Amino acid sequence: MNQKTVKKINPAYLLLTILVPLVLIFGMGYIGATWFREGGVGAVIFLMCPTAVSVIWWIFGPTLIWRLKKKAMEKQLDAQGFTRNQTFYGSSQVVVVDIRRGKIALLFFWNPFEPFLLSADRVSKAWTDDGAAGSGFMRGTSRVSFLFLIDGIKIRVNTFTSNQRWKMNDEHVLTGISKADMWVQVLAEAKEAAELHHGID
Amino acid sequence: MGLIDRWLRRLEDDWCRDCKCAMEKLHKRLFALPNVSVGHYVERKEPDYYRKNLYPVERKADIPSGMYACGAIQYRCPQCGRRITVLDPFLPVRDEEKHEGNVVYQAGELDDFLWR
Repeated sequence: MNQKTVKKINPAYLLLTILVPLVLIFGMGYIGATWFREGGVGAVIFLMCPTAVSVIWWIFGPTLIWRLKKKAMEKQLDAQGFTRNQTFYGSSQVVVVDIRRGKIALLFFWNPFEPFLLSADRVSKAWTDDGAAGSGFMRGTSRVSFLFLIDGIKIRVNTFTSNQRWKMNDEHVLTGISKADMWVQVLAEAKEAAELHHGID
Repeated sequence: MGLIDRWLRRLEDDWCRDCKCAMEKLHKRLFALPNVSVGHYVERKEPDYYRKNLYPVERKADIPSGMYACGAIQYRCPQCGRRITVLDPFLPVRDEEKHEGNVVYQAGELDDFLWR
């Protein structure tokens, strides 16, 4: 069991992901501009290739790492005898719960090399945010999520997001609210089980 | 009832197509579908599936969040006596319901199950 504090973002990983390609573009660009002043194949290699590779990296790199690390975490959990009763694949985090043993596993997009396996009794509060705004016929939402506090750190997991505002009784919104409500209940059950386990220990 | 209303009425499940009249509600029950959770609904037409997976509940409030429910209504035509069963799987969400589309049985496939 992991006792360390939950860290949603690994600043070193975040900076490396963004800055290393930038350094590559400028470094190679400088070399290209200094050595190949008249252009030619060398200038193309040094000026265009790093930019193209960097753009490809920014689009696919972190997502690829995220996918691989998600699979690795699931394998690791299975190997440890963790029963994956419920799994939520959010856009920037994965939450897995073993309800009977009262355990929660977390993995964050910007901290993919550090999965957290915690006792559910560290969840101090869990609730649904339906994101309702506006009044009358304008009442609606563009985001539904469930939130929980672990050691005072707020973790928000979106179950529905949109760039438009949808009516509260829209079927996508209802699905999002239902998922969020279910997860609040799942976290409460896991917390209860964890407290019971601690009582027995 | 206007002509358009009458024409639209024919498309509803509780309309006897033979006698061209509204059927009367004979029996109504609410069930939970515990093995279907939000995001995992797949339409099923086999009566056996519902026989195995429907569990009667008293109120909608008895169904946990994220679990599907299913309303079952049996209709009878007052003129010809024909019976149909309409299943209405839905996701209860707070005060709202997300309906997935009715499943209609016309040959008494679920009669024994609903009346037991």
